[in-house]
Amino acid sequence: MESAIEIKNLTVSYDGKVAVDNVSTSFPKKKITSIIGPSGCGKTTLLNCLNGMIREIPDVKVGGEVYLDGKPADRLPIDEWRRRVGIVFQTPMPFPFSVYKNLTYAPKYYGNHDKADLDRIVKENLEMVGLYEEIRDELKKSALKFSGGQQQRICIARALTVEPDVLLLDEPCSALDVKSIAVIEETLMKLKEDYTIIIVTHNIAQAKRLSDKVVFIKDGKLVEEGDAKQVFESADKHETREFLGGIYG
Amino acid sequence: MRKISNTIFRILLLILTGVTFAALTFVIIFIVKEAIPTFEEVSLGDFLFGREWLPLDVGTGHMSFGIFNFIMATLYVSFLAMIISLVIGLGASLYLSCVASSKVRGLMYPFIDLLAGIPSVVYGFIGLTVLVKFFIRAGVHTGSCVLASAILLAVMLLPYLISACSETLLKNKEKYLKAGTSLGVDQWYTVSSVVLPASWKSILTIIVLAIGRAMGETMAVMMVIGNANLFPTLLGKSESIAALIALEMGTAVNGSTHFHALYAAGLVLIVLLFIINIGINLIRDKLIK
Repeated sequence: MESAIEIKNLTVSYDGKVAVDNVSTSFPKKKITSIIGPSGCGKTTLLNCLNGMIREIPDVKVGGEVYLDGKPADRLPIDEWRRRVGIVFQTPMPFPFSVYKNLTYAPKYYGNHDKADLDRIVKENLEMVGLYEEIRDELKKSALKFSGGQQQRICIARALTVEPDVLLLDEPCSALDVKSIAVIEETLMKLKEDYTIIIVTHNIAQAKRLSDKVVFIKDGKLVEEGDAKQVFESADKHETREFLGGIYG
Repeated sequence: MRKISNTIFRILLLILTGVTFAALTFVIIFIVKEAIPTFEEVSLGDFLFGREWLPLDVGTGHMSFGIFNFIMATLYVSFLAMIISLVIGLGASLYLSCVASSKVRGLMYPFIDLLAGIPSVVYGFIGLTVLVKFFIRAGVHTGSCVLASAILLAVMLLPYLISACSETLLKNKEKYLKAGTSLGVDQWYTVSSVVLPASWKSILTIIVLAIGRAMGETMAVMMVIGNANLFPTLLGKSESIAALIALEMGTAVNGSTHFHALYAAGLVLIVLLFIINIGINLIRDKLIK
């Protein structure tokens, strides 16, 4: 299977404390890969390595390589790398502007000032997250005035406005209610047709519903990875089975 | 038992809040009461817009109570100081919140806080020995001038502005910068287009409080402004309301019109502050929805 991102021997340490320990894996194109594991196991750190956000954190040491489409990502200009690998954070973080301005923020930064084209970008990306029909008359309203689930979908749409190849999601549903979670999951299943999706989640049931591939991490080490169905039904490793069985987590 | 202690606690809090409120009310009532007799002697219009301040009829044979120049000087110095302080303070806050590492921040904050702890008379002394001397050398008569006091006042406002602004900016940076950089957008673009606009509301509140401080500041301003009843110009002498009260209250005969007029001037200062507060709050609500 062709992979969109590949990591080789990735090691990350904060102030000498190892958070990710020699992890190598790959994320298949146009599929959803879940990264699961107990809290504090290094899931978010791993995610931060995939789009170079890890460089913003002081006193961090990163070893190993990240490959984007087979090419080393750190040879790309950092803004290009981040444009191609979008991220959505745990808490919805729309800018304190209107929905329209949120979605045209990055395109304008990259030099797109064509009104018609910006309108198209807003419409298409909101449609992509299933929000356009819902809020088409409220595009001028502050993004902060929408519900948590809507805000998170606005953030996903915003991440899509720069036309990334890969979309990272860091526990995107942990701050949302059940109904919003269902809508977001539906959105992700639809996005899979065009994007490679990597999701960090605490919610094993959610990982089960969404993923094509699963990566299980514990104490910074990769314990098991593979086809989602196979891992959830008959994991090879004892530790994975214990985690999935809810013995710890 | 729990119920009784809760009730006692609630009553205690109510009393304490009441004391604060009562203190404010009594101060205002007292000032208004002492100010009112002034207007048996002069009309409100003459008091506010008159330019002659002759509180004693010794020698001249007539008295006059016009505080227009003092009002203008107070506004002039405060706003000038505010502008100087805001430019420097915002720059420093941006550096501290968006450029400096947390180590540098930890080192700088105590110094800035220390600036706030210096008594205003010491600032005034430095103003006299450094600023005023500088202005004399630059060719300003006697060196005391409105600009000198505005600069001095700006320095006094800085620690407050910097610590409050950088706190707001830091909070908004932590909230929005990650979202910006994750879109591949340059840090400074995010700071100027998201972090700064998101902070304006708090910054305006900070300005309101700082202007209050500036208009009421007495000692340091009095020491360098020259204290002459003149319409304020950048390099000319003038006198603020606070300085007027501080300078003359000690010598005003108790119960005289002079005495009451000084209270009235104090009342004007309070009303001015009140109007400015309301004005900025209105602007804030209008500009930022």
